[in-house]
Order: sequence, then C-alpha cells, then structure tokens
Amino acid sequence: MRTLITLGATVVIAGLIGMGAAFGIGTAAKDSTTVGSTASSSGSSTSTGSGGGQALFPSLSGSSGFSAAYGSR
Amino acid sequence: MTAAAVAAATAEQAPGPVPAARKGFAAHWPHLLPPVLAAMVAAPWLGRGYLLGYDLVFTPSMPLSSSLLGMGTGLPRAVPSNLVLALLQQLLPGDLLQRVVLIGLLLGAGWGVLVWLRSAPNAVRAVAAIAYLWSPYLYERLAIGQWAVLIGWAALPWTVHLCGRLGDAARERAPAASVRLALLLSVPAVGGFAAQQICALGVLAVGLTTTGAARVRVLLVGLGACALWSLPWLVPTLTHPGGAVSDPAGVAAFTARADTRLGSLGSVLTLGGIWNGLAAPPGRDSWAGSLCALALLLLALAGARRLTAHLGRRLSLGLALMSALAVAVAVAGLVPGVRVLFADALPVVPGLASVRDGQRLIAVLALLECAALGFGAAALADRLHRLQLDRRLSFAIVALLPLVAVPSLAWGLAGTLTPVEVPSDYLAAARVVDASPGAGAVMVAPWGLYRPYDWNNGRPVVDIATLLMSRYTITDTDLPVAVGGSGVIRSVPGEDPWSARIGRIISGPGDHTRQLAAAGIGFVYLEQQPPAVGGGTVQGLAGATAVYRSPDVTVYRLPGPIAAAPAGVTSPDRLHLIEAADLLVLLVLGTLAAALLLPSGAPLSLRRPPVGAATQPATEDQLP
Repeated sequence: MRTLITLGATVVIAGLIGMGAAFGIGTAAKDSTTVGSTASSSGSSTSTGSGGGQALFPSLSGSSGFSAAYGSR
Repeated sequence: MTAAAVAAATAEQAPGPVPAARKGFAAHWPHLLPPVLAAMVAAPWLGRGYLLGYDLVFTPSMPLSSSLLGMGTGLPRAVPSNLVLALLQQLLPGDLLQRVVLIGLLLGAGWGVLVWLRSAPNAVRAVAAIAYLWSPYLYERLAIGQWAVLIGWAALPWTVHLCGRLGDAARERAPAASVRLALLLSVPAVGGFAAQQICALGVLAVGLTTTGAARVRVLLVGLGACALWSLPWLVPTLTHPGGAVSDPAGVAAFTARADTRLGSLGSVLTLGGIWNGLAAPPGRDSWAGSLCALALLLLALAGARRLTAHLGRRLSLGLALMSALAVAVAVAGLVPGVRVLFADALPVVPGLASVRDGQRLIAVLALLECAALGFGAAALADRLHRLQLDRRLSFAIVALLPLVAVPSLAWGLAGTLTPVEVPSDYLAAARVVDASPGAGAVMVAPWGLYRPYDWNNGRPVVDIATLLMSRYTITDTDLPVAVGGSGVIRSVPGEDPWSARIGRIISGPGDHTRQLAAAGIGFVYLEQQPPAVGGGTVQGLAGATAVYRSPDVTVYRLPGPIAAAPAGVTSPDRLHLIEAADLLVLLVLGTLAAALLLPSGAPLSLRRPPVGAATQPATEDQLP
C-alpha cells in the first residue's frame, strides 16, 4: 500500500512538473514572438508640407499608429 | 501533525543565532542561489545595449533638469527614481547602470529572505529564497518595466528583518538599530511611493504586533523614516497645480485580473494577477500553469503552522494581516459596490490613484507565502521520510516547482527583454534641441506616451525622448489600455492639465503652429518610422523650421512669440520648496550614515568603543 501511495504521489508530482514545463516553455516560446504593441507601427500619413514637396510623415496626433497601448486587459 | 511533532519543530526551529554546527560551505550555500537565479534571468543581458519595455527606460543620456525634481504639470510618478538615475549616470554608462540596478534588485531580494530567515534550516531558507525570487510577481513587474516597484519588493525582507531587530534590541542598542532601519528605508524611497507603500506594510506587520516600547520604537522609526524619505515626491505632489486627484477610469483599467484559471482572487493569491494581460507570464493561464500555482499555494498553507512556530505568532499574524490588506486593495476594484465607491473617490481624494494598481502591494503576501513554502517543503519532507523516501527529494521538488510554474522568467523573460541599441539620431536630435536658442517646451510627437519602436522589436516602451533633453518635454499622459483583446482602446486620462491642453490643440482642425506657441511649445520633436521621404514640414506646423532631420527624428522650432510655461513648471516658490525638502532629506541621510560609519569617539558616532578600551567593565548587552 505504501509503495502504491509513493508511486502515485511521484507520478502526480512528476506529471505536474512535466506538464507545467511543457506548457509554460511552449507558450513562452510562442508568445516571445507576439508580445508587443496592440497598435501597428507601420502607419504613416501623407501630407503636403509648407516647405515644399510631397512627403510621408506621421501626424502630430499619433493617429497613424506610432503609439502603442500601455497594456491589455 | 501531532502536538509532539509541532513541539519538536518549534524547538528545532526556534529563532536564535546560526547553529554552531554550520560552518563554511555547509552554512552558507543558500547564499549562492540568488546569484545563480539572477544569472538565469539576466544571461542575455550581458551584452551592451538597453533593456526597454513599458516603463523600463534607461537611456544613454539623462541630462539633469528641474523636471527630475518634480517640477512640472504632471504628477511626479518617477520622482526621485529618475533623479537618482541621472545622478548615477554621471558615474556609469546608462546600460551598465541598468544591469547593476536590475541584477542588484534580484540579489537583494534573494539575500534578504536568507538573512530574514537566518535561524531556519538551510533547506527551508533555500526554498523560500527561490520562491520569492522566482515568482509571477517578479515576472509581471519586470515585464511592465516597474523596476521602481521592485525596489520595494527587494527591500521588504530586509525591512521586516531590521524592524524585528529594532523591536528586540536592548535599550543601549536601540539607537544604532533605529538608524540602520531608517537608512534601509531610504532605499525604497528611491522608487517613490509605490516601493515605500510595500515596505510600510512590512513596518506595520512588525510594529502593530509587537508590544510595549518595542511597538512604539518600530512604528515611530519605521513610519517616521517612510514619511521623511517621502518628501522628495510628496512636496511636488502636494504643490501639483491640478491637485493629486485622478480619473475614475483608472479603477476598471488597473484592478487585478485573472491570469490563471483560478479566477482573479486565485491569481492574486498565487502571486500574480497584474492588470495588464500582456505582462502576465506565458503559460500561467493554462491548466498546467494554474495547477502549479495552486500546488505552491497549498504547499505554503501546509507550512503555515511551522512558519508560525518559527517566526512567532505575533509576527506571523502581522504579516498575514498586511497580506490580507494588500489582497483586499488588489481586488477592491472587482467588488461591485467597492468599485463604484473607489471610482467616485478617485477624482476627489488626493493621492488615491497610488493604490489603483493595488496588486503591486502583494509583495508582502509573496514574502509570507514563500517563507511558508520553505516550511511546507519541510512538512512534505517529513511525510516522505515516513514513506522511506529521501528528505532531500521533497526539498528538490518544491524548490523546482517555482521555476516550473514560471519558466518564462528565464533568459530575460523568455527572450522578450533583451538589449537593443538606441539609434544615435534620437540623441543627436535631443542635443540639437538643448543647444538651440529660443524659449518654450518640447512637444514630443506623435501624440502618445508608448512607442512600439521597430528597433525595440515592436515592444512598447515609454517614449525615450522624454528623458533625453534637459529642456522641459511634454507628451501625452493619457494611458491607452486595450480591452478584452478586441482591439478597442480605452483611454485613462492623465493628470497633466498642460498635456491635456496640447492634446486638444492637435486633435483640432487646421494649423496648430500659433496655438502650440501660445500654449508654451517652442519645439516639436517628431519621431517617424518608416523614414520620411523628401523634405517639408509635417501637416499642421506651417511656418515651423526644421532644425534637425534624420530618418528617425525631425525637430521643428516654432516661430514666436512663445508663451511662458505654466506656473507648475516655472514657479520659483515651488522649486525652492522642493529643493528645501530634498536638501533636508540629504542632510538627515548624511547625518545618519555618518553616525553609523564614523569611528567610535567621533561626534554623532553610534559605534561602541572596543570592549578592551572601556573604562568600565562591559555589560553583557555591550558585548558584540
């Protein structure tokens, strides 16, 4: 009986650790490539500058995606 | 556990000096664990470059300016932390300083737990130190870049330890113990109010549960020091032009959230639950991650009885009470009635915003739980021993469990927090601004505080330009928070009235040059990615002159007349008040440090003369 309990407890603990490691590391690896902004950083707006010429510039207001969210709930 | 076993455990683990049997490596091996764990976290930080993410901003250059003292129209959230960084940057390069600070925090936290539990068995201390250092709490606060909060986390075990020493000190030794505690509490003061709140909970945990003169001593010295060291941020806050009130939207945005399958409360009780889903440890929301977290909590509960026997009922109760308070604050925004009350109070009660992200206070719960976990490992070892299994096996399993529960803490948060080089044109543009004649503050654009720079792998970080110039910079202080993964952004308005005014100007139609100049803006520091093509002036800045242009940054000088900055930035009375407070703090700090460091016999010195030099025979209390 004692051997059975020991074996069972060992399997449960080892399984818990194994699953935690597998899920945790797997998700960490996956998320390490996706953690980042919730806004795109590729935006720009077209404007005609007073100094002459057609130019690609972001707007002052930041609506072109140059800003990122502080986080996500 | 039987009463006999409890008695035996109590006798074995009673507080007291380190057992004489422990010598050399056998006595001190747990002290190697914090460096090993710190190395596992910091291994990718060995190269040059800056670790940037959310609020974690160290820059190659941080010029000294009055805004670092708290002069400005925003609340002084980074005071005095950024001032201290700017001063230290006179001695060390910014990236090296960042490594010293972050790795120092990891070592300080781990060694603090070992010192606090110095009379416990080494295996218990080791498990406790590993669990405190390798926790979801550390991951989350590191991921969101709040290194200043982590100062409080690292200083907490030292605070509890020195409060206990002061409470136990004989009358002759009380002055030196008081000075040591006061000096220690100046460390979290560098982190500002958040770090100080954490350590104040530690002071209260000890102070409220001691009795008689010891209680008065601990509370008076501990809370008095906290109050005195608060002056550098408290004075700017009290003299803040808009009052220190905040928007009610902060309650919904910054209250704790579930990052496990154990619910919000379960997540907080397992030392996570930060409001920001992007800062939660990956995998913690899986069933396996949640079960690991739960297993650690249950093991800690299993060790609670032994911990109580070791620390004493009063201190255990004090830590439990403060932990309960921290958890209550962390989840307050989730309770419907309390949430409404909290939201109603935020715009009225000054300073209440300091607890809207209450989850950071659970550092005190982390300390309690991790110490209990060490004793839980001892309880498990006893049970396994009865089953003919090696006691060391259970300690090894429990010691590994925190690492398995948060594996992504390794290798710089699983490679997400690694060094990057700041493009040189950001600095060059900042130098041009500082060297340019003309009045006015610098508006940092595009309007938004956090940037997903390409060169930072798209990881959001506070706009680095806000720290690169000695000229006053102004940017958006609203905090955009994405809700529910839907891409919907809910903005939590900031507390800076000048910033709000600029935001209204640039969101309006037409040309903004005159309006910005009339609002006190002399320069626009415009960041652009991808690089601009051709020349010209950005829409809305007609008549402005480009004084610097590079692929990443263009700086415009606005034509005059430029209006004066608001009184919060320029008021000499406010500046003198802040300077006086800072000088007072430095004076007291210097005096206390001198009292500890000066040799005996010198004025102010608290050092005791050598025993042999005493004219009177030394009493037992005077012996070292």
